[in-house]
Amino acid sequence: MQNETTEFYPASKPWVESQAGVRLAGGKCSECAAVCFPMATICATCGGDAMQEHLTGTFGNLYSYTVVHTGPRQFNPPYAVGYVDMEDGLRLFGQIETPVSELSLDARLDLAIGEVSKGANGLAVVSYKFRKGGAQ
Amino acid sequence: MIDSYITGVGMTRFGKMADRTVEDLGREAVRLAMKEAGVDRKDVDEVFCGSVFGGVLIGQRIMGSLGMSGLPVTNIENGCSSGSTALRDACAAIATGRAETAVVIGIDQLTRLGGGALPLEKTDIEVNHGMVMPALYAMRARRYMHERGATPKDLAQVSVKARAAAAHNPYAQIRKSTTTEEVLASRMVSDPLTLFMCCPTGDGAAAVVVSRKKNANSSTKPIRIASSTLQSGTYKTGFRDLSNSELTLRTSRIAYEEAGIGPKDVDVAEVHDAFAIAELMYYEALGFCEPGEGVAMLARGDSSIGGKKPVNPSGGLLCRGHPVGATGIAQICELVWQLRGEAGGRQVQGAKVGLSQCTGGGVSGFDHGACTVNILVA
Repeated sequence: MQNETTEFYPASKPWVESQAGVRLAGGKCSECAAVCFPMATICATCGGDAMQEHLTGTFGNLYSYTVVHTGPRQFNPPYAVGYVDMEDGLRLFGQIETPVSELSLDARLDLAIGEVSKGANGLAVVSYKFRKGGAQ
Repeated sequence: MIDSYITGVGMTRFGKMADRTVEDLGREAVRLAMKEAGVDRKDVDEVFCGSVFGGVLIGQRIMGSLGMSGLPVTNIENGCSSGSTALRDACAAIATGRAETAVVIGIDQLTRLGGGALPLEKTDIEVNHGMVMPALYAMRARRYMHERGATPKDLAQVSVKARAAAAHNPYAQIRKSTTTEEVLASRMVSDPLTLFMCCPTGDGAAAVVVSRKKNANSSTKPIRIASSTLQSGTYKTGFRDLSNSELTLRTSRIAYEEAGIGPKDVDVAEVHDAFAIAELMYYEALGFCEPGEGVAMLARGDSSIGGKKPVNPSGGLLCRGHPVGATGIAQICELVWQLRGEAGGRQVQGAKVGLSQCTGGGVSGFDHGACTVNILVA
């Protein structure tokens, strides 16, 4: 919840946290079944305007990653980022909490919620991110 | 449709020139190109100016200060393809007979932005999670190495080749030769990309005169623009193969078809090596070697000056530099010098067909935003 020290990105907090893990709230096109995140009014795959709500799974596979050394100050470099391919076909870009020495390509990464940057006003910005996956 | 020819070229050196105004850089390049083309104010029908960070009405600010105002000026922003998109628009104006002669400028002054990675679109969801261009290319590199069995040493070799070429290019920002060890030991930017595997931040301008007239005078070789092709990246919310450039492959096949040639006919190429990994990928995407054979092509020396298919004899973006909007036109300048036999110590012998490829991105969902491929024939 928003308080004096944190803000959320996206501001609408498009995620659901439960015992099973974190899911992101995106959209699914009822015409072509393409998924998107965040939710959109128009489907970027087919151009249709019949989008429905869709929750992702709680984990995906690591397609690639890097540790950014020369990056914007608000992310406190060095920081790790990567592309994670979810089971529903979505590709997500996000920061990775787990040290990269413990990662390998195509490994399972779980969604998590945590700080991703410091806002201009000094507030911590909280969003979705990734950590090494639990038992499969 | 009327063919376009390049009758004059000119560029500033590329480098850190924060003490000069951006208009001054533009004026220098435009005056050189117009002088070589033998045109003055009254001969120019239109101006096209490609720039990403040059600011509002950059073309008018440059041309007005040269005493050329009132004529149609179009300013184009298309990421790293801004300059070459401007060239394409000039060719279209000439093809339809709307213009006979156009000046095309590419320009940017990155030292005004404060250094570090280029500022990307603030509202972009990936940018808000920490995406910067070196990170995107670093992820490409990691996936490419994973799928091809390539190593950081192979990436370093691209930089070593680029430096060797740039030593012969008086316009290049970085001309000092280097070794594989030195490249690998340079400061890490976004792993596995070290500093020497990344293009430097800099300033510069390049200009060409494009005309239905074949040459400035009878003693200059006509250089015809056989194709100037533009495509955009495919927006996807899911899987994209980062180790193959679909956009470059698609754009180049359209360009080859329009020019009536194939990859084997290209004598010299200037490609978008903003980061060392990119050059390896573009050998493959442009059809200069089989998919997966990029590293082998480099290792054989095929892409060095004197090899079977010289790529980036100028030193490329890695060494000539990458003032974003200027690059597309700087590539054209280099190809024109090569095709005229005026490239000095970096000359590719007997070059008759040149190809330039320029592509950039940094918007989520797109592998690259835009790609241009130009084919010049002497």
